Amino acid sequence: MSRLRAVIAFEWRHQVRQPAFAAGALALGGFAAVMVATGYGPAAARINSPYVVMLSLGLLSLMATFVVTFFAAAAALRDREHRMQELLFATPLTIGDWYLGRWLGVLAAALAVTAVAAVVLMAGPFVLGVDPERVGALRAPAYLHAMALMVIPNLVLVSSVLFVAAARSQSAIVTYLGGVAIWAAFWVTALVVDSPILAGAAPAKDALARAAILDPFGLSAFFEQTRYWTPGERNSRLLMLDGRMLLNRLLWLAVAALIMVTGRRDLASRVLHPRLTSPKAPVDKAGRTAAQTGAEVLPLSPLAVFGHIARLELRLVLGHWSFMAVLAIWVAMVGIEIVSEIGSAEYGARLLPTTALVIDRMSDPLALIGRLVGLYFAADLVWRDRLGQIHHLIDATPAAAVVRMLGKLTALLILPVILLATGLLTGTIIQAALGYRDLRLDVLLPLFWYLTFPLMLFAVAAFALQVIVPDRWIAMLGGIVVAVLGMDGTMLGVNHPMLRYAAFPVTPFSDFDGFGAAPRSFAAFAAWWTTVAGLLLLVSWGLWRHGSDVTMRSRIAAFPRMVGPAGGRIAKSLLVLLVATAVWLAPAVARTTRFPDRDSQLANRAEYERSYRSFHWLPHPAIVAARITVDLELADRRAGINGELLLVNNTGHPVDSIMVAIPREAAAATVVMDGATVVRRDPEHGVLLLVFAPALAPGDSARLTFSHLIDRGGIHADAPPRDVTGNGTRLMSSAMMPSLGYRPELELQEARDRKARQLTGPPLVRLRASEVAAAPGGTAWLRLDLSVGTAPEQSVVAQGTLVARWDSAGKAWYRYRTAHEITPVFGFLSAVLTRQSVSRGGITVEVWHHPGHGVNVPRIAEAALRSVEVLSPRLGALPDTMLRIVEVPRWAAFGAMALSGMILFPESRGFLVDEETGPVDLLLRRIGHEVAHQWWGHRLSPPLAEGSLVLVESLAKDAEQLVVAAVHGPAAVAELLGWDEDRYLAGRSESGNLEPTMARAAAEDWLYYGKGALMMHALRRSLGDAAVDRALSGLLALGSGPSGKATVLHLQELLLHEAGTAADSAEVSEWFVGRTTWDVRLDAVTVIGDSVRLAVSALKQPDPAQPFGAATGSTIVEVVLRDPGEREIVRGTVNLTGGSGTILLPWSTTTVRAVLDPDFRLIDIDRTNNQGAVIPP
Amino acid sequence: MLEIRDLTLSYPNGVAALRGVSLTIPRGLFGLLGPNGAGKSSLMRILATLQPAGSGMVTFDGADIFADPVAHRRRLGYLPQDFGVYPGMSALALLDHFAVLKGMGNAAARRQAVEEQLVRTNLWDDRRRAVSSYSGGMRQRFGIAQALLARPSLVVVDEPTAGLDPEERHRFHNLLAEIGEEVVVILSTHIVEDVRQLCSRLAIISRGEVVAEGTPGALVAGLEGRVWSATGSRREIDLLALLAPVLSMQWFAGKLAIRVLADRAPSPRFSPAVPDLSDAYFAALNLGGGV
Repeated sequence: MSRLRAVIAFEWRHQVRQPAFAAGALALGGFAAVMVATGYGPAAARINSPYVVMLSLGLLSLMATFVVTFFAAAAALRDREHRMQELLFATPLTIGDWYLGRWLGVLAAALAVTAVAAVVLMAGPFVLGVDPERVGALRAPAYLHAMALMVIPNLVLVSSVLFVAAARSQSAIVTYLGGVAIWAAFWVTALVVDSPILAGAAPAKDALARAAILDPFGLSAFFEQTRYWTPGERNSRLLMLDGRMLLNRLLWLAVAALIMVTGRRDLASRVLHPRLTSPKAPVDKAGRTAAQTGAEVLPLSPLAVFGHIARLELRLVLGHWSFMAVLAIWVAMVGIEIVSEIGSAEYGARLLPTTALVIDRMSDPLALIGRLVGLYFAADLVWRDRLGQIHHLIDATPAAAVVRMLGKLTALLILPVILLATGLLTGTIIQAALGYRDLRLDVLLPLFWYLTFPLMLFAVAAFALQVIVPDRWIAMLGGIVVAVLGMDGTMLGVNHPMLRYAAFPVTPFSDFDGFGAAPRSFAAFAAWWTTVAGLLLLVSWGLWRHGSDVTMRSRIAAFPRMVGPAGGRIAKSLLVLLVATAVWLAPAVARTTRFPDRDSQLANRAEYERSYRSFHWLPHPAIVAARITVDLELADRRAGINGELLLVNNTGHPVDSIMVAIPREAAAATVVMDGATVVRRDPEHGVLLLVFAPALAPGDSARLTFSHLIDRGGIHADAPPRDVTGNGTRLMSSAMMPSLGYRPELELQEARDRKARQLTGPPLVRLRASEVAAAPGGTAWLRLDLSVGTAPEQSVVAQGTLVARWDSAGKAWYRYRTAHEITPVFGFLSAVLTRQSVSRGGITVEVWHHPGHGVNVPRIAEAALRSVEVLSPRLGALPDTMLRIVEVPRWAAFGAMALSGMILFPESRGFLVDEETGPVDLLLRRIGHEVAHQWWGHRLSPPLAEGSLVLVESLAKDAEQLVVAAVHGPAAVAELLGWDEDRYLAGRSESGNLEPTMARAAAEDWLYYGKGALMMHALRRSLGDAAVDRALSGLLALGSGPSGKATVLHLQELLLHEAGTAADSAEVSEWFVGRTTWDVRLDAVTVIGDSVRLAVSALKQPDPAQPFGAATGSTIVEVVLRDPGEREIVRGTVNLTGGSGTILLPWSTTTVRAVLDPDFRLIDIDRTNNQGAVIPP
Repeated sequence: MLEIRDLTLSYPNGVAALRGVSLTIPRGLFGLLGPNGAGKSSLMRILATLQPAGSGMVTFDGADIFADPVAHRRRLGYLPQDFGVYPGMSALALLDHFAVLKGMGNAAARRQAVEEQLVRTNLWDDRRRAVSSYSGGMRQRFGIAQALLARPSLVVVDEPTAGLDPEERHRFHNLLAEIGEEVVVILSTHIVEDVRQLCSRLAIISRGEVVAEGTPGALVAGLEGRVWSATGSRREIDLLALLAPVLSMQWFAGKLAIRVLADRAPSPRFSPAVPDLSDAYFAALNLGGGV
């Protein structure tokens, strides 16, 4: 035992004195400081809340993998590298003591560096100038709890894997690979479940439950347990060590123990005699000795030597099992990514495995693993000769250092190409396996430029760091910083892309427009970074380690000799090129891209509100007609726009001044208003103030003419905007014409942000519904006359009737005109499109789509017609007989957008869904929802206020349920509701503000979509379809048209009017103004004779600020018994008194399952305990 | 001809590894004798252009090796005291790699050269085995094989026989002797026997300085009639050691033998001894080069 203690103590002392320890502590502490300073964690949770502490330390323990890699490699390989094994093991030290002691020393060092980060997390909120409102009282137990539950188990696992890998292999590269494997295991799990850590969409519950157990770092278990926690709970509750969190911790600690036990076997021979086999005795080759006649020595060109070295080094890397392992991990990663993405369409449906999907899902993992490969193999290639002690032999040859360096570098640069090639091959195989055999080489080949070139540049930097920095571990840490900088520089506070090495404008691919405008920007940045990389290589050349004296001083002294006059000339050329590129690129980027930090953005919006909010209350004329001409120059990605707006003062008050907002994207904008002069120009906020002289009298009209240019050419640092693009231009009204009046949507929404910038009162979006009637103006509707000139091969689709089509000056012109006033959000698409139309019952549905995306078009058209057929009898006839559904490129930032008479549908959201899959008819649901907006949003267009989106989105959710029920039956709706309930519960836990009630929902989409869907479904069950339909008809009658001022209060009132009983009224009120959440449980299922006895209990949370407690009073819960086919056999209701109750239902031999609340009448936080098997006696 | 003039080298910690070393080394095997830490390996590394000298000059066949190190390396074969290999690579592949690095074009000629060296170093039968699995002697033979690729005119071998068994050592000596007929071979060692058997000329280096230089015969001849030996118990020998400068003391058949340097017998216990190279070596090291 004393020897073991001595080994641990030695290891601890040794580790903490190494630069890697200081660097690791600095790195983790730095990350922790960045987390605190940037307010990492949900906006609603305090920075030092138990939730954020646990999350932060969990992530830091993940990052600690890199640090532990260095510690483990040093502990296990030190003896071999320094040839100490024989001395060491000639002492009484046993291999067991060595093994356990070294590992515990590594673990202690790893815990120490993570503890440094924990201390930074603890002190940071009080010393880093964090918003005081986000800082709670210091609670040391929260940090200890996180260390115990998250950090220690994670580090035990990581250190055991890495130490065993290092000890058994006696290879640094294998140890690195262990680190990569651990990272990969985490990310693969995260990708599979679309973990919140990746900011993805909501994961499926069963996938999350699986990941909660399988995620080696326990973060998925953490997310699973806290998924529905409210802000109050996040600020106060400690994570429970139970359920899947307990299973996860036990499982991975057991794995760690198993690894340690199995890693101990046969260790002595591996540590003492790594990779040696008993030599075969040499046999004299009598008679074959030869005089040194020698072969003719012909000179070999440096190019040939370079090629030979590159091939040899590549062969050594590829031939080693370690790269094979990386490749296997990568292929698995790509496969899982693609397959999980295919299955990630909304509501569990599958997407078609298109090439665009494959590319899309490969980009991020490739960026990650490509950098890891670059990082590790750069160290391997640079240090291999020295660590293998072959460098003296090689350095004594006449092969030039630069040739050898470039040979090694070339081998490194080929690795990303191999990764991409294998990834694409994997994707292609998956596509073929799923029956998709459209091999798009024209798309795949450019990826070797867009995806691998940034990785190659990173590899150059990682390589240069290994050459320049004297210590390979420090160089590797430097490489990690460079990687983070390139992937997300904002994490380190570096915004400008020219300062983030190997950062490139991203190049999302769409079938419509390929890589769009990105190639030019990409090439510009390629020139910039290539020059920088060239300089790095020049420095590497000069500092290349040669011979035995490799101190930095000697290498610097040898620099001029190493590079020679040629190097000097190259350096001068590169510097000139660097300056020239910078002088050209920096202004070009500044013209198209802004890099404001969050603070300056918020300050700008606050200033807008302070300067112009008073205009919101002033009467302003309405735009009643717009004539707009858009001249597209698609080759240059420009749109010249001009037009006229007809304004009418229908306010009843004279208007003497008006505020005009220029589209944010506009350049060279001109605005001329008849009878008005410009008194103020505010380019910072895009505002013009005009004064009428004389004032515009009530009923008078004025004409506003305008012109501006939208220019998307030039060099962009980020993804170039895709609104004006080669194929798939989509311009919306906000970009096409000026708007009038104040724009409340620009106001800061978060109370914390508002307070920090001294903004008083709530944002206007929080206008109380009761104040709408007294508020000025309404939503102005307009008649639209839109002409668009585009490329001759393209079509333009817009709202209204196509009244003219002509060719002029090499362009195809289209003119659309609406027959009546429409809501003032409109747009058009210009692209190479195919049209299919279907008519029935006087309604024509036109579907415009990419020529290669026709697979779902008949279903889409049919879904639209069915939706109209289901909804029209309840809500009234459509205002138009034509409904257009238009596919837009995948980069649209919405799931679908319903305009008046036209629905925009991104390519990946419906046209490319594999409609044969999934529990929900996704197309029908989506189309039903968007068609419903022709009523809820475009017939009834409520003024902006609290609850107005309930009238638009919740009622559209109601309509989609009606359509799905009409086509697939009521049971299909239950599938939808599960997703909607999850959206609500997850959303409210992320909400920054205390959860508003439905009647006060404003920006909370999870409320008006998620809870809104549940509410309407429950009310239809309680009040009956007819009653709800009557209420909705009443709402349409009350609030339709441009002057309509319907509010959520009207809806509540109309539904209350339909409530037949006090219980119904109470339920309506609860949905609108209550926030109750339930945890209903089926405690026991017993078959007694011919009956099934169900024991049920319920916990109730009256609002998110209170804990769950036993439900008081009387509560009704529905229950059903089902057969093996999930068909309902019998239904009943349990009356819970004081939170519990029982019910007897008739039993039959086919009864297999009991389910509580099958129709989602209650919002239930945990439905896993709502079911029970019915087991026959 | 290798000319070394006033070569110095100091390490950053202040240790002077070489202090004005000057040597003229003709074709043939040249031995560089000296104890550990004398500066032999530093000198070898400088000759292999792996270590810059502090000052001084080295020319080979009239060419300054520091002015154009790459040109020098084209004529150089170097076997360091210790070296590693790429794991898993066969002798054939690794020698081919070195041949390329040494600038040997023409794949057929390169292959012929590689095979010749494999035969010459008696590694032919094991040419496809990974060098990393070779025994110490085989690995040293591989080292000399790579050094001899591309027909070097200067071969620098640093402590090549350390750790070899007698058979391997013998084999290695034969190899070096064969090479030494054609080119300049510098053999650095602290084993006097190696130099005695192989080298036509040698230098003895101590604390960074050349303390003796010449042919083995000349160095030994300088001691003719001046070396005396005696045997006895430890106590007796300790007393005898006070009478004359001691060249060496060693146990032989259970008795301690002493050899001293004196113009006449220091005492009747001493009898005249035939001087050998070891005496010359120890005289140079211990008596400040009095030979």
